Amino acid sequence: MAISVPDRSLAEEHVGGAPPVGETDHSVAPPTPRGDIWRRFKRNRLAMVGLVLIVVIVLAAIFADFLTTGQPGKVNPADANQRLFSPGHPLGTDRVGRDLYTDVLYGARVSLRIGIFAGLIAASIGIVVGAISAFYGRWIDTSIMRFTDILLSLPYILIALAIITVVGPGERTVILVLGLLGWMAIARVLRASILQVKETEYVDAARALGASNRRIIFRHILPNTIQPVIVYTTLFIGAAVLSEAALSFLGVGVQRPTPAWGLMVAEGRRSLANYPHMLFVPAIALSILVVAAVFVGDGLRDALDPKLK
Amino acid sequence: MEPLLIVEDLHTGFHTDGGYVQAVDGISYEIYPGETFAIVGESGSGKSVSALTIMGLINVPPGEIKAGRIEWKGRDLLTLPEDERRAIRGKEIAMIFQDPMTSLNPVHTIGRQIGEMSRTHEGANKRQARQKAVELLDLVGIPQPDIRVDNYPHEFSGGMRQRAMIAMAIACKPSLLIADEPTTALDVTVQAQVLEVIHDIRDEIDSAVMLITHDLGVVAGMADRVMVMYAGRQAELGTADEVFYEPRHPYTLGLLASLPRVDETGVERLVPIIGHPPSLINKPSGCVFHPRCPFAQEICSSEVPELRVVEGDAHMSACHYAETLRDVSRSDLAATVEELEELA
Amino acid sequence: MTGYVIRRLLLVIPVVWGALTILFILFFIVPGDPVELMAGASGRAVPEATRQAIEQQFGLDDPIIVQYGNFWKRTLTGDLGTSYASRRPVSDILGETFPNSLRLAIWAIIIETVIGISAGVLAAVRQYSFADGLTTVITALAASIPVFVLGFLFQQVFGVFPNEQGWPEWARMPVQGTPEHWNFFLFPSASDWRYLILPMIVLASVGTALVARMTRTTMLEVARADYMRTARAKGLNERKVVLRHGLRNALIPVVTLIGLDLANLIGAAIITETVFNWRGMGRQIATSIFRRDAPVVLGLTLVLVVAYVLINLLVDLSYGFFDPRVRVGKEKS
Repeated sequence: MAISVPDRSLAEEHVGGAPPVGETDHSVAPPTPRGDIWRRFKRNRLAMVGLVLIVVIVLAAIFADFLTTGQPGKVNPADANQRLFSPGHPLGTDRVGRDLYTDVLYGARVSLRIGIFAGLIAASIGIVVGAISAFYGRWIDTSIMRFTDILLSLPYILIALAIITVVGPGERTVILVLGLLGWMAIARVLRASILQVKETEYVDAARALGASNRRIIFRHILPNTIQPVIVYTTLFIGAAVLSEAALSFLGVGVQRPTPAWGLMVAEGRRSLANYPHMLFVPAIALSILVVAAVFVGDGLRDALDPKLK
Repeated sequence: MEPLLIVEDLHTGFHTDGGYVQAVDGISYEIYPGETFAIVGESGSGKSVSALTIMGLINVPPGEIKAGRIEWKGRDLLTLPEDERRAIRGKEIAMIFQDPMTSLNPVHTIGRQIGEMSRTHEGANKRQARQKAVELLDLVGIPQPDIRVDNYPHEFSGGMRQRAMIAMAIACKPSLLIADEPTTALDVTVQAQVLEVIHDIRDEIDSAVMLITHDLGVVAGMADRVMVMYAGRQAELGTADEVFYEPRHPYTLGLLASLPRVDETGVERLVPIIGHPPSLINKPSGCVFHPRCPFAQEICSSEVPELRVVEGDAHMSACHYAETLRDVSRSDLAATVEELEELA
Repeated sequence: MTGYVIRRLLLVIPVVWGALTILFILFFIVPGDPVELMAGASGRAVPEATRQAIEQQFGLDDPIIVQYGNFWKRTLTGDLGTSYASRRPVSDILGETFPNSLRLAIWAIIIETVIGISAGVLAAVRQYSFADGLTTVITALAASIPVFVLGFLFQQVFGVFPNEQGWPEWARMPVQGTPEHWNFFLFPSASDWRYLILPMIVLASVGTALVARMTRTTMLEVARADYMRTARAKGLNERKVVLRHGLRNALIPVVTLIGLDLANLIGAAIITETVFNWRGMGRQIATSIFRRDAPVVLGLTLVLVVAYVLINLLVDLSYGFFDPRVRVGKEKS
């Protein structure tokens, strides 16, 4: 279920694709100055909390080597099934003795990598496709949008499942698959955004003042239209992390010995009755990261579009 | 004759990020049954806010209504409980707004929105309400009202929408119809039509009209009495003839002078009011208009002029030198303004 | 209007074609040996004769293009093929799984609509209050906690724990399984209800959160509209203003969101179906993917894709019902 989040978050933003017939959206504002955006973002307490959490997680991931002496994914049957706060294992160990604390720390790296890179891939493809579609219009636009529709009609998770099953699991595959299946929404968002802005009066005004096409694109259109893409990509990263978790749960995500939070949750399931911490420690870590991404994404959206206060 | 509405020393302000905006700064006036009372002023003069305050449509945080009394048919609206105020809203005092496109709900038919008035205030059922709506549409001059009643707002033209708004407002025969810039969003040709509708309606249902506008031309044909507002305060108050032909406030003079006149021959420049509108957070001291007044003196920057009778029975002005403006003609004003511009 | 509908219906064709071709490529061109699957692999190699027999029977020895053509030929005549793994007709498997997925999806949508919209309206009307803040946090959590975690949690809290503690029968929920008997398609009979409750709530969790948030957002936007001021000026009480004038407008994008969600849910419930052992299409397809059971995957996905496109079309059409400005074909003034 969580895997479809990208599509549904899209629906949140721009339902059904193109704006309804005959309606211009009057809420497109000129680009807000950077300082303003940051100021508004700061005022949103939840967003700041999210930001702090993400920073903490990122730092923990970067400095994992310094924060623990253990080896990630190291199996040690002698130490199996240690509970929380056991000596030497602050978060306990799992069925085969892997130290949860170490694995969670290194697992942060995996989750972050997957989220960020999948997001970058999806965003890159999405921006290019969306921009081309919006600028060239006509039949290029129509055919690209039809193609996007085709791809979107495929059940996201099932296709991901199919591809990975056939190609073979692993971190890189997961990143590629998530990215390749996620660009459509971003393309749509950007395209809708550009189409709105293209028609607004201040673009006409710029043109009347003699601005060249390129200048119009960079100075006027892009800064304004990139904002929903940023918001959306942030939310996508959260969704990608969840998707990885789900794929790992199904067995086709990251494989051991690399620790990944989703994988750890799936592994912890077996011991749920007796040693719930094996499932809940990575689950909580996952949830924190995703919640933080959601708060930040929301905060960005509110900061970029002040009218929604 | 007893006045319908007595507004006494009304103050309405708003707390904003930039400070406290004193939008309505101590105004007092009365409206009598059946008359057309025009409130004239530029944007920011407080004219709309004062109307919204009377209607009770100001959100109390961030708004604040300090002091004052609004007496409607003998009852003080500001002290009434909300449900009683609601009973008056729409039924006894109705309001129409500037932009009919956004002021009408796009997902309900015109007929339903008009009918809502009868159903809310007069207990009509659906059929009766619809019938009433058809009659009202006919009254305001909408052709084929029985078909049009089931249309949606986006299927009407601008002028027709405004007429529909008027029909909606008069559904319960209110004693006072407040029209807030009813023609500003319309084409010039349509403006005259809509004003005529308001004019005829007034006679038809025997109501008073409070006409709020920044356009003196709109006022000329219709108003009985006129009140000129500036920066939340009253500048001048009198009959239409008095204010138009014998203005006694420099701001009124300025407004009149800045109108291009069809009947004047000769090449006369338009006479602007110099300066720009004041901040409503930090108002100029003394007379609010003094920074832009061609006749300003020492006293004008230190003492707030009171609204007082300066001519006849009820012609009032808030200017220390109101009497001396008696013989000031447009060309005098033009000359004074020109001198000041050269100095600047 | 009819022209519009027909055009949209025609679009189904390229979409389905494209989708299935992609899947076909994945399954028939990339390695994975269905023969082993069918010959009952237990580590032994498949005898050559058996292999040839199977290949012939299923046409697996034909060149890819021929297989592709055959696939479409039989599909278009309604024959969805036979499962490699169980040798049962795919249409039988479809008949067992599709209704269950549909039921679960519909129930989830009902929850999303009722709870999501109410929560959103409440949060908007009491903006900045504690209820609003609480809703924001809860919806963020619901959208962020992995569905399977939520599923496990519920299983533990409502199923395993009460069982262990010996709670009375009515307080315990079954942790797995699908109801066998349904009334009027949607209502499980008697005590079978229990099987529906947990999966339905878990499946609806993310959607409810999104609906609630979107409703809140649109309600706040609508609150600033001029027609709201007009409605108040007419003397309507606040409840009528918010519900009759505000909500009606605010719901336009929300309804579309819900519609799209329905389209998604039928196929995307795989996680929930797996956790609760719910006999639905998602789980079936996933299992079949692992087993390289191509006919099942293709057959079921075909139905999924068609359902998705049709529901999308319905959603687009219904847009006109909710927003009169979009209706095609009405005369303008």
